[in-house]
Amino acid sequence: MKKIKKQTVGDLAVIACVIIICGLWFSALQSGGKSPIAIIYKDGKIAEEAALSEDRVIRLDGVVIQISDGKIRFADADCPDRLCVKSGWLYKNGDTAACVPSKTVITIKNNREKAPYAVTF
Amino acid sequence: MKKILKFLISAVAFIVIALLVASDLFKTDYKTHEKSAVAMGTVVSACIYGGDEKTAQDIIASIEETEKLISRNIADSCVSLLNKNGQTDVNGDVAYLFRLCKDVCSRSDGCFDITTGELSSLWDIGGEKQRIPQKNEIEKALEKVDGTSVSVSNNTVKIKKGQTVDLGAAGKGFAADRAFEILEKSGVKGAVVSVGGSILLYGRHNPSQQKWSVAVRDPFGSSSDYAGVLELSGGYISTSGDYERYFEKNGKRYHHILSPFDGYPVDNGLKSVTIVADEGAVSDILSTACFVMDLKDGMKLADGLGVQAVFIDKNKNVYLTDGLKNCFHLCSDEFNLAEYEKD
Repeated sequence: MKKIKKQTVGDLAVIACVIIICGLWFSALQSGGKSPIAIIYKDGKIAEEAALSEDRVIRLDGVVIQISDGKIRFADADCPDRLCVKSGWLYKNGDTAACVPSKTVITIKNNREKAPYAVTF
Repeated sequence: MKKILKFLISAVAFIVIALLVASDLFKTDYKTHEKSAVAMGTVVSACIYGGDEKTAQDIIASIEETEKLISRNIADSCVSLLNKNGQTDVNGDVAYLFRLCKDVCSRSDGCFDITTGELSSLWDIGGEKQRIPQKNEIEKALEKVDGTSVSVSNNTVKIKKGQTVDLGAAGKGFAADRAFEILEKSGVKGAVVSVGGSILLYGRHNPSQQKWSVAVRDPFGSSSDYAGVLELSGGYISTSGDYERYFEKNGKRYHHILSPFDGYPVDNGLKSVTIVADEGAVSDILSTACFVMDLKDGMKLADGLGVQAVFIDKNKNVYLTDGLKNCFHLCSDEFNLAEYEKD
């Protein structure tokens, strides 16, 4: 009887360790799995972190930003060249566009999607 | 016996799971701190791995400082003073940058030239006054183009009367070099600094020795499209292409990389050139130099200087220097990895 008890304690310890490690592993994987967001910088500071799941229009000084169907774009801008509007929809992890005159940057963060560390252009 | 067997099975299972977890954790990136802003007429960003937010802020501030130092659009920058007065005193780093520009000017037989400022202003590509200038205007502007006449003595830079210097083709890489100095002092584990398309890959992004992946933009597609991906352990990467700033008139594209010889946008069959080097300014300067030179001479220059390069031509052929053949893969089957035949 004593023997069985001893063995059960050992087994339980191993099972407990395995469960704890699996739990840690799973939580580590999950921590990188947040929903996609767009980080909008204005003058070098984060002006807004917007979820791409909710369709909306964001008006900042000089630019109008639109979120629709999980994508985001500069929909309108006061700048003369309107290069920001021409850059179109952003939706992939790491996609970035800027309106240089109004110092506004949009960049997509989607931890569920693998992206290169940088893009050279 | 049964007990020992049971223990062994448990122990092996435990070790296998522990190793799996450990290997996965080793491949998990360090915690990041990222900052983005607009500077030097483009998006700049600093992403720090295994460090603090202050380092990211310091790097953005340093890029803004670099812009103030060398932009010809800022009235009291040293380049503006040089253009106004014909000579100016600069700090050691800027003097080095001028020497580098002069050196590549001579090595590229004048294909890289920083004295094309007036020519660039004339076209103003990407600006409010962009237009196709008259032939006589171009000829007049070309008379002042001569990069070999720039002189650097100690920390004094001189140009010929009437010349206008523009460091636009060197400044972003130079800013990346200055970011490196901050990273060296900060003790961070790794970082990616992007000054527009000029990239610095510093240190490592996770405890294993996994390489950094850097996408090379598809010069025919949108900014979200990649032609290929480079896998690198570090260094500086810059690209010059005909797609970044341009306008179109009567179906013809006029882009911002102007030939110092005829004054028109370079048209030699290339769409983009990417350079991988050990110095930011070198990668930036050589990407323009090689783009202006053409595939044959650009390859020769890159090989001669020991830098690596990716050339993409108008027929979607991709040419690599030998050092990149095992660390580049295409992202799209529209492109063709072509073999460049050396002389």
